[in-house]
Amino acid sequence: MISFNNISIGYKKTLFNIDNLILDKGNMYVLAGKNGVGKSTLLKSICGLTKPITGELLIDNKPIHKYSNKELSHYCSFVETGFKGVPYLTAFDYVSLGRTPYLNRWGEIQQNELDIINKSLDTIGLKKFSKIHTNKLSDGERQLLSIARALCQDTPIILLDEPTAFLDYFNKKKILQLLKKITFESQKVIILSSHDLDICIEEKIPFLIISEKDKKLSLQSEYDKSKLISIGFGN
Amino acid sequence: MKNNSLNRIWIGTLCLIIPLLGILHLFIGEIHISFPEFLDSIFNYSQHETSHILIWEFRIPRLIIALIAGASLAVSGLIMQTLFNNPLAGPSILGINSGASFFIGLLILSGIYFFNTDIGITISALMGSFLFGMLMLACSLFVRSNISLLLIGIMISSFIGALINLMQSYAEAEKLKTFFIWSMGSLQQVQLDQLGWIIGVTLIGLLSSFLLVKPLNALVLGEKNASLLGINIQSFRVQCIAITAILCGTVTAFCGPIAFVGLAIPNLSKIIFKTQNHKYLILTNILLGSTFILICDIIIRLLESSILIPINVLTSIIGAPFVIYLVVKKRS
Repeated sequence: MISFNNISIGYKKTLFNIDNLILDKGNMYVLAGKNGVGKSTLLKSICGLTKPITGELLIDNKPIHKYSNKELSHYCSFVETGFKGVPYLTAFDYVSLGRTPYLNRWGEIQQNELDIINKSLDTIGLKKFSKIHTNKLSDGERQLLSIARALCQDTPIILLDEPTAFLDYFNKKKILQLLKKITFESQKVIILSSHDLDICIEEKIPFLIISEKDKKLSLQSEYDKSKLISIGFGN
Repeated sequence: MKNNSLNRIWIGTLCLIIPLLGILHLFIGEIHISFPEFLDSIFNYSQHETSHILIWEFRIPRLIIALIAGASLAVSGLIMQTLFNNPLAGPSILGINSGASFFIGLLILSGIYFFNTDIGITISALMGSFLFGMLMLACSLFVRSNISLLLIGIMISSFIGALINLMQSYAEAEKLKTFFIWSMGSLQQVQLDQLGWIIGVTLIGLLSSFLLVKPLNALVLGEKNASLLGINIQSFRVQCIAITAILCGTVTAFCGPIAFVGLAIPNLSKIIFKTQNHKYLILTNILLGSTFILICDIIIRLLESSILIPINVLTSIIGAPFVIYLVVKKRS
């Protein structure tokens, strides 16, 4: 699904390199590493917001820069942290914006779209907030809504930047389990960045660890916390 | 659902109020016109009847231009506010009105008669609005902060104001007077034969704004998210500026710079209708904008015999306190 060929990630200065890595359908990964090591930049590179400095990033064997905005919106959804809410924008309308890539020119929402929107609100457990304005919800509720919006966009790749940041322990667990289930059932690739190492280890999610020392990203599927920490956070 | 039915009642009420206000607007004035006279002028027009000429040459054009000006300014304000993601954006603040004013000023004060036709005035106002709209857009690419962008808009406006003042000091008295009257804003400057042209141009602008519903809705989440939702931001921005320039430029060309409608009405319609769906917002802005200008003009007509208030003055008198209220409310 996603393949990296000798890529350096960063804005003007290289933050880290990925030699060769292929992320296949039906897998979920946790992206971990120090603050400022380039986790968000990697996610932004995969959804086309920034370009890798060198190397080739392929989605479905096609270089990412050959996709148009519209095509990419059918492949990739991106959940950022810290959505502050918009006055008079209801939770339902917010989630329904996830359907934008599929709507006709006039932006009309058809019945089958409505079903998808309601289903994703239901999955995330926020159906009861449908009519509430997004600026009146709590940070955690907004975080969950952002995830619902990504589910609504129904793309084979879902990228989440610290989706568990504002959530309580129960919701962290719930969201990770839910994402795992979706990954498996709908054969998606889900990458999320997180600082909640313990909970990700508990859930046995493979780690993509960025080491600041070696400036390298590596895939780790052993859940030995001290080893993970020494790779990602050791000096 | 409760909210939806309330909105329907509001829209229905506005649809009823506008024709009623329109009729009131037609019959109010220093010269009294009776209903039979009005019917007579429509079905049995005669060039020798003063009342018929009054109705066709003055009252009807003024009514139609009031409706058009309100709708156009409100919709262009809405588009600006969503494009710049800022509730205090508007054609008058972002220098789009000033752009039109500058070109019109250049036209009137320099006395170039080459462009001194309806089409010439419209085209130069359109060019002015479009050019300054694009200038603001270019600034928005470099300046991320909304506050800085508003400041730049205000600076551009005062810079143009200064240029216009400079031109005025070199202009002949007669031209100066023409320009001054234009800049006060009036709904009475339009003649019957210009109406078709204005209706055509603004109708194109209003209808094409509905084509922007989908990207406008997505842009509520900011440009980055809209782009991730498949919106081509670059072309969308140009479309927004083009439509705003068409709507705002035309109205400014024929009615003078009318302030605050484009700023206040979009906010008011969000407060009343409590939605961010631009399909409804465009519709409600058309209705509310027309209603607002109609009410302003009715007030002007009622007071005409004792005091002459230019439309620009009245909209500012009502609009400015409203904007202050918005800012204060937003802070608390």
